Amino acid sequence: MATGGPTAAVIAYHNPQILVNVVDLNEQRVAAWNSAHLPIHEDGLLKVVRIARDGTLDTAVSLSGLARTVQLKARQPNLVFSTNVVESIAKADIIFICVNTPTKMQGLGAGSMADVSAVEAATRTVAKHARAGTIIVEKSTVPCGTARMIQDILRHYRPDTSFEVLSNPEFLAEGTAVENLVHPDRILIGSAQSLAGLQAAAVLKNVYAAWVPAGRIVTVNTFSSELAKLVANTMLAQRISSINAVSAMCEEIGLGADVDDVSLAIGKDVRLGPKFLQAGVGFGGSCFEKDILNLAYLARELHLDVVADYWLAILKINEDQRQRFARHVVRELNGSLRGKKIAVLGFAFKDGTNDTRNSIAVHIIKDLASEMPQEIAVFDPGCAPAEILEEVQAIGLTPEQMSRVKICSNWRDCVQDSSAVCILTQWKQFRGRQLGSSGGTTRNTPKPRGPGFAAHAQEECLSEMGIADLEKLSRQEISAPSDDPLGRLKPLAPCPEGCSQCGLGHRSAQSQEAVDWVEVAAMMQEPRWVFDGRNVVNHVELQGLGFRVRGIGKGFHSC
Amino acid sequence: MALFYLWLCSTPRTGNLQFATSAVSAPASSPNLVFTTDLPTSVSEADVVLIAVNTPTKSHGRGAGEATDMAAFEVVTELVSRHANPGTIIVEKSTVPCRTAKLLAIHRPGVHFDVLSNPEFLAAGTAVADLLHADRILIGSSNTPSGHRAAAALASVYASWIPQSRIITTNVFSSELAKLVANAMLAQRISSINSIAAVCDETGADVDEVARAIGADPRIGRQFLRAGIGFGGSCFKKDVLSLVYLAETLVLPEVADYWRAVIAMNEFARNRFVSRVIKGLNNTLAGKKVTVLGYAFKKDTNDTRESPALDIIRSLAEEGPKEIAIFDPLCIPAQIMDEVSGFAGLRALQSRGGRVAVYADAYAACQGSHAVLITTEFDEFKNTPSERTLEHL
Repeated sequence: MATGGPTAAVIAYHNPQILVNVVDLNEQRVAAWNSAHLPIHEDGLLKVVRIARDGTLDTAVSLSGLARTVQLKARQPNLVFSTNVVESIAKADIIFICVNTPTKMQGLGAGSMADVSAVEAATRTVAKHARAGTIIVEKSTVPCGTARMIQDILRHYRPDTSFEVLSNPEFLAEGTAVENLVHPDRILIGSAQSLAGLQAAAVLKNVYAAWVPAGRIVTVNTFSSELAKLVANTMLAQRISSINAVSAMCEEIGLGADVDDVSLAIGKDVRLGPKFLQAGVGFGGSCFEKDILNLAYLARELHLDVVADYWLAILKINEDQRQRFARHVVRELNGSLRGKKIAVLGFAFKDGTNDTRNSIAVHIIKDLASEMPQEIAVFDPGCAPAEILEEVQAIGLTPEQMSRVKICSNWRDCVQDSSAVCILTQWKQFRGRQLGSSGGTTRNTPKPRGPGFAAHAQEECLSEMGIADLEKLSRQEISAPSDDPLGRLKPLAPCPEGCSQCGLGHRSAQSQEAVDWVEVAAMMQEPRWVFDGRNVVNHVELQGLGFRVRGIGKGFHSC
Repeated sequence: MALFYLWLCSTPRTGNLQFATSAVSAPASSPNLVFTTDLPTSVSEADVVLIAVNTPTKSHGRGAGEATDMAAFEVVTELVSRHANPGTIIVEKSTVPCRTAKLLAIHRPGVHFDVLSNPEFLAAGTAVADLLHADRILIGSSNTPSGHRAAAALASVYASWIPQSRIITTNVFSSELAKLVANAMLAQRISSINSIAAVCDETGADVDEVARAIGADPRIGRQFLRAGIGFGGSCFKKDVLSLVYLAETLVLPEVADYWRAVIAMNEFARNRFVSRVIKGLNNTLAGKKVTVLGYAFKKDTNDTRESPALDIIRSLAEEGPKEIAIFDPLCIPAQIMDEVSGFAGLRALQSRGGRVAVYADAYAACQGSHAVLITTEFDEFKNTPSERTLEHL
């Protein structure tokens, strides 16, 4: 995902003394960053951007929990979005390169190697205009060795100047980017193991130290840092493929073997841990697959074919898992989908995102469409129907198959008259209104930090962390939840007349409504199959309503 | 309650059976742990029988090298079913492949026994600590009222020292599978980091740094991310292979291949190590002495089963060095010599004119050596910084 904007915003937010310039060649994108409608939707991002970009108002806070009124001084803006690339580079002490690195689609390494041409181009611009001694930080997910490439380009253009290149990979998950940035598990900084390299790493460490405990900032050598980013994502994906491989075995064993029980039991082992052990139809998203392919390509280049094959096996299981799912749907409907309507609930690769790219659902829809059902109806509470359609069109269906795919804007249209419902994303809406949940993992709500506020209360100038604690305190006193309980935010500049963005973003209440499975039972056709690809619904309750239910890794069917 | 704990140290063919039984109903002050060979009496008096026989990997026939050898398990099961009172709860503690719970019911048709699966999660070297402070106790039962009652009875035995929240009750098959999967996923972590070690060797990254960086992610965790020459021991390989075999019998070839890759990577790590040694010595060991420090499969144990050192010694011997010197702080030299002659032939030993010598002293083993190989992570092999280095720091 594009990490530059959120990262810059959080750095600026926590370091009011540092001026953060975000430059992009795309004028439209910059205009969006300067408006009320940011180009990326992340919880809490707008507030962070507004505080740093627009500055804050002078505020006096008096709360019953405080001994005296606290004065919050106005903040000056220190986050600037612009297209002034050259000028900003020339002034900078630290330059972050956060350009996109998609997988190469043609030529050598097509489909598996990352395309670093944008990094090259950005580095050339930096090389031409940066001041001597500027620290260059690569933030993009890049193949190992890219720091060396950046160093080479710099040396080519500026042979007499030395620059330190750091690797500082981002570990953000879509949907929780701001939370991940504000409370990171770790910040990884890779540098050359020379005096100058270690000094540069210390400078960057200081920037993060404004809000990240020192124990969570890990400094390593450049190459280790670049590799660690790939390995971390790959090993997360491996956990999913491992448990999915087990789910296949549970289904074949039958006799009550249940993959969720296995996850629970092995998750209690502290050496393995409980996270990322949720069986399902497989992982999607843009990062896991890309990083696995990158790592495998690197191994292949190093003539380590065994290593490359080892990691590619994760993708094989992932692919196999979704094919098996589609196969089960067809088989349970007596081997033919002709004349039947299939409802697909969930399109995004995970809940809490509006990202339709790299979805598992699109592959399953393709497999199902080849069976020529009467209709495949798709609904996702987070994604725009037009974007879903765009993705389905790109998968390569025949016009005849395509004409059978309908994108719905609510679950009722989707399930009406269908013979089977396939749940492919673990949206909480699908768990049902009356029904309890089972299996599905609940997202960890961020734990509130301890009352660190009291410690700085007497200080002249409160940090944003102290202010956040104040806000928490004030929220406890006023009952109405507010994004800005202290009234610090400056009003947003009004949008121009006829702003196209103002109408969007407010999803209809209908699309957000939880699925009522009692109603679904009455709307569906026999045999009322529910294929629960994320183990989100309570199977027993649904069976009580007359559904036939098949989950992932639930070996009950052959009893 | 009378609890009967049954284990078998060697195969029944040798007739060397050992049993233990404990009578929990006795007053607290009197002994309540009894070791005996009187199987029929003990079993017939027991309310709960725990079966914990050895289940090695089959070495021949169908599924050789992958499937679990159930011979001992079968013999014991038959004996238990013949002598147990109806209603006795039978608990399998052995790591047995799935679907074997039903074996227990075959020998006494018509008599109801509740069969529970209660796999052991012990590591050699820390077994008592693992038992006293278990991460979890897993109890699998059939999904019937009497199955649940039996599970509750066993759970109450554990509840006297294990917090309730750590006792997990599941279906029998989930429980049997969980044991295999837990070990397979631990082995997988080792293979994963070892594959990264290979990448690091070729690039300039440091695998310990990578492990530290990814271990900081709580979703991945810090443990079992030490790169090395691969895992050994009697459990990991066996359990991964059991999983492979099970996947094959379920006609899931992709799944079988997936887990088999964990073993392949382990062998790769070991072979890579041997290649580096040989390459480092200019591709010839002729006339050279090589020292192997560590023979056990991991530190603080004398267990040599599936130890990586065995394979490494075999590979080195094929290169025809002047001498292979072996030292291990816990394994007895006589035992090592016995094993080496087993896999490399009697004539491999120096005492028989061969090239392999086993030392009782590490320094003597290293004397005049061209290369020292550290194959077990014993603390004794770490280089404690000398005082001069410490001052320097």
